[in-house]
Amino acid sequence: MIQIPNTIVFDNKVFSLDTIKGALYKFADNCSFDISCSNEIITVTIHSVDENQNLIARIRNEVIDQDLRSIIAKETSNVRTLILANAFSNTGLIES
Amino acid sequence: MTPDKSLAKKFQSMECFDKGIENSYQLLPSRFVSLSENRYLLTNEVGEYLIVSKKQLHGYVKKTLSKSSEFYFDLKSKHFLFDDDSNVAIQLLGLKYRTKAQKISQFTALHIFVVSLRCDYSCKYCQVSRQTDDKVTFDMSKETANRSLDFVFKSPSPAIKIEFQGGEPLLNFEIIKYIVLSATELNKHHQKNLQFVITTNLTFLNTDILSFCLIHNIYLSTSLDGSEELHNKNRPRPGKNGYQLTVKGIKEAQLYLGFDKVGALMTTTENSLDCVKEIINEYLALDMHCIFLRPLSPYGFAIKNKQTDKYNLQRWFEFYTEGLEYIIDLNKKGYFFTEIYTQIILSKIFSPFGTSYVDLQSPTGAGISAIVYNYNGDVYASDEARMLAEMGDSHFRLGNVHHSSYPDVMLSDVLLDTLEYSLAESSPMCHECGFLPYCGTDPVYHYATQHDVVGHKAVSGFCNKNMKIFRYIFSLLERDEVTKNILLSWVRP
Amino acid sequence: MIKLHTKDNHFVTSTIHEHPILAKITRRSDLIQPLRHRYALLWNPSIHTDLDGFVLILVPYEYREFHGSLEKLENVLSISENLYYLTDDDVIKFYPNSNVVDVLYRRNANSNSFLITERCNSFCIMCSQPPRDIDDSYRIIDFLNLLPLINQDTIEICITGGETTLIGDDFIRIINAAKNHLPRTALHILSNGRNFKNLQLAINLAKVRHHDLMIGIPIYADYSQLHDFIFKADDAFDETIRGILNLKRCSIPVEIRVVVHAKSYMRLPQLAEFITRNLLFVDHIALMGLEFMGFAKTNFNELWIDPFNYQDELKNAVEIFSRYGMRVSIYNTPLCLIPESIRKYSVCSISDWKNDFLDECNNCSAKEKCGGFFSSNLGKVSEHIKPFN
Repeated sequence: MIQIPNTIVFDNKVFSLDTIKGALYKFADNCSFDISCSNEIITVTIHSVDENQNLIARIRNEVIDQDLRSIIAKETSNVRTLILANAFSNTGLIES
Repeated sequence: MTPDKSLAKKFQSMECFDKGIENSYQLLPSRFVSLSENRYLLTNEVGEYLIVSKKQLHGYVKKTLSKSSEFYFDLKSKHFLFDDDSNVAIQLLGLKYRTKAQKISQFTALHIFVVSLRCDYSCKYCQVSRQTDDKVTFDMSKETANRSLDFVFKSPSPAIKIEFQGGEPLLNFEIIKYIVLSATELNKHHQKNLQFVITTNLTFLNTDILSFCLIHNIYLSTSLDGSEELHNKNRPRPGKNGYQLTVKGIKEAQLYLGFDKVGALMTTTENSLDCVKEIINEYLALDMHCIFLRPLSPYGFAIKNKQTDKYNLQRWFEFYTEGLEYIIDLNKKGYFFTEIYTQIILSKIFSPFGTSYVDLQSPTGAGISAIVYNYNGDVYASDEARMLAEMGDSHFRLGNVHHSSYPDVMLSDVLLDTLEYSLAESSPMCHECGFLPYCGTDPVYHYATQHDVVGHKAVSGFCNKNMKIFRYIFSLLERDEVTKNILLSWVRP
Repeated sequence: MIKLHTKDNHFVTSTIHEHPILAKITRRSDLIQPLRHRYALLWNPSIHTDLDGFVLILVPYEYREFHGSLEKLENVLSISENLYYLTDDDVIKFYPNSNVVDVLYRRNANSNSFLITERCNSFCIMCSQPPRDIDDSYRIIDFLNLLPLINQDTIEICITGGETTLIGDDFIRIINAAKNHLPRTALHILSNGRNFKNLQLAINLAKVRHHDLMIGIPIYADYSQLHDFIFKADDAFDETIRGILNLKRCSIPVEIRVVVHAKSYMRLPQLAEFITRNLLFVDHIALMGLEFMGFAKTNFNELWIDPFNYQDELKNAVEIFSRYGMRVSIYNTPLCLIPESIRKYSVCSISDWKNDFLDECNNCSAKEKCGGFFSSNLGKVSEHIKPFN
């Protein structure tokens, strides 16, 4: 088992801290992380027990995916409430 | 024939009828998850899906895609977006969501009665049974049965299924008869759709029992783990003739009750992993049309190690995919045969209705979809909850029919907290996962393996297993038309 | 093809009639006197009884040489050669000013449709009954007068337009009348459903409690831009769907009608998926071949596609519907153009009066089961018509 410390640096004007944390959460099965913020930079230090060449690429991709998810969540939270309100309202139920 | 020019003028182009053409569009709630390198599964709030490339996904979210492309129309038609030209999508989504959630409002439909812990077998994976003749201590009494039936008929569900489990339920056939007759009598007032199932090893089957089952339309479910050697290795009994008795019992029951009234399940152990085709062949030999390739039970093993064992999961997954490929091949050759877990997932993808399968529901089906009345009156949120208690942890015991009222049980803190905290729609990772509409939450499993009803899904065997299965099913759906049509024919509304 | 509208009729004796007459046909010259004022007698030479009291005496073209022998009678009308098919219980309307005979109801028809208005709130590019913005409220009166003359054992009648809901309160009135006069007859009403976005209209319709009613509503596409383009009306898609939802909330049976042509065939499977996911509770789907009349004829070049070329899309769509347990039928398409696996969904749907076959169909073993063609379509047919042997 080899401990491979490694760092990725993110521009915090591009990706929010929540986005990055959300992405890193998914890699808890074989990594742990240190995160630090300063000025315009978020630094992620990876402690991984597996030697995994792709890990950094996968983390970067997951951060991008998380960013998309945050856009969707932000834009759709109101209409989602509307849909659920519609679903649970007391209008005449159509029996299928 | 000269065309009428004044008419023709009125037939304007498509753009004139597109009020949305000026502005951009708005996103509707959606989730996505990667299927492979460049393929993503995009799902909407009610589980309708599109498989898209990374480029298409970005185009959709960042609104750079062409509004006259077929992809745009697909997104609009499947309710991933709406625009100024039409907003009936919101009303339709509300209606569809309601339809999917309707089963939840119908409440507890599956009521499991553990009528005895006594059993003639000593199966390696069983947490529960006792080799004993002590009927008083380990059998359900009439009083317990009566009080449990009171609970059963308090459920508003229009359909009630009473399932007899054990130990070996037929060892207490007297109480089964009593419960069936009492329930039928009580039902004259309630008018519910009442069904009965006995899960049994069939050792003690006789004509009286079969005759009773015939009259009351009772379904028999047994365990068939595979070939004689495998079955007897997994499920030893004195006389070493488990397999023989099981096959004999299945055939008798099929003839007496009808082929559609007898089913079998298998439990997978280390020994099963290399012989999935042989196991399926056993089912074919008995004219059966479905099998449940159940995962390795996590309870004994995982409690020792406190985390999922990836190696075992990978091996089980190979067992499952090999089995499924074989089953699809059987279908291609004209024999209708399904794998039950796959069938449940396919129904979640393609049916407008929700599922009653407890382990793939959110909120969890524990308590509100299925409930267990133990031989001594203890009430459990699920069968796994009962198993956990047998191993020493009674966290999910909701009460006892002898001294708890129905509200005590159904409104207990442990049940309500479990329902609320384990909701997938608000759990980390689950809430944003593209597979959410097809998945569920399993608080008992996560409590057993991680001591937390939510669990960290990155290290969860439940999540890991389900995601592998979902990805595999979608790859099958995309493989070719023939495979897709076979799988679609498995969908139950 | 049968002609329902004829002008070459004329009186051969004196007549008292100045206004249009509604009459039921009978061949029974011995019909009792008190009933005769509602009937027109279909005359033949073997009749020698007293013929007083019939509102009209109709002399078929084949008996024109007998006009002389009828000169002592009144209201004797020589009728067009094209009315050879008239028989007992058919109902006609005769206009003395123009000598027009309109056949409003035929007992032996496979379907009886009544045009209740030519006005419409849409402008579908393939409309076979192009809208006219005129006051045709006389049609409602005609229909109400006609109802008591229709046979009680008629299986089904159909009300069409234009847009039937545009007749306002009369919409409920005519349905009530149909219920009262024909309590054993099914009622099929065609509408684009848009006015049912107003829930009260659906509620009022449900209150009639008609015993066997179905509303036929068209949807052409799975997304609004294309549907509205075909409808030539903004908001048609949303309004139609809201209308369908309201009708189903009131438990009124709804049929969705999809006309298949060059603009709508490509996304037929997607439309099928849309309907099965969003409108699973509708009662029937009709996938219809196009009749090239009216606007469909004008826009022929935009709309024509050989049905042979949309076989795949049709098959896909039908399979999707049947997989979800929805009732589906294929209308107006010859059997030889339908893929074999879905032929069982084909229905002989074309009204008999405008239904014809090609010469080569006479050699076809499936002719009895086949719906054939619209008479107006015989000019341009598929290149793939082939008789079965």
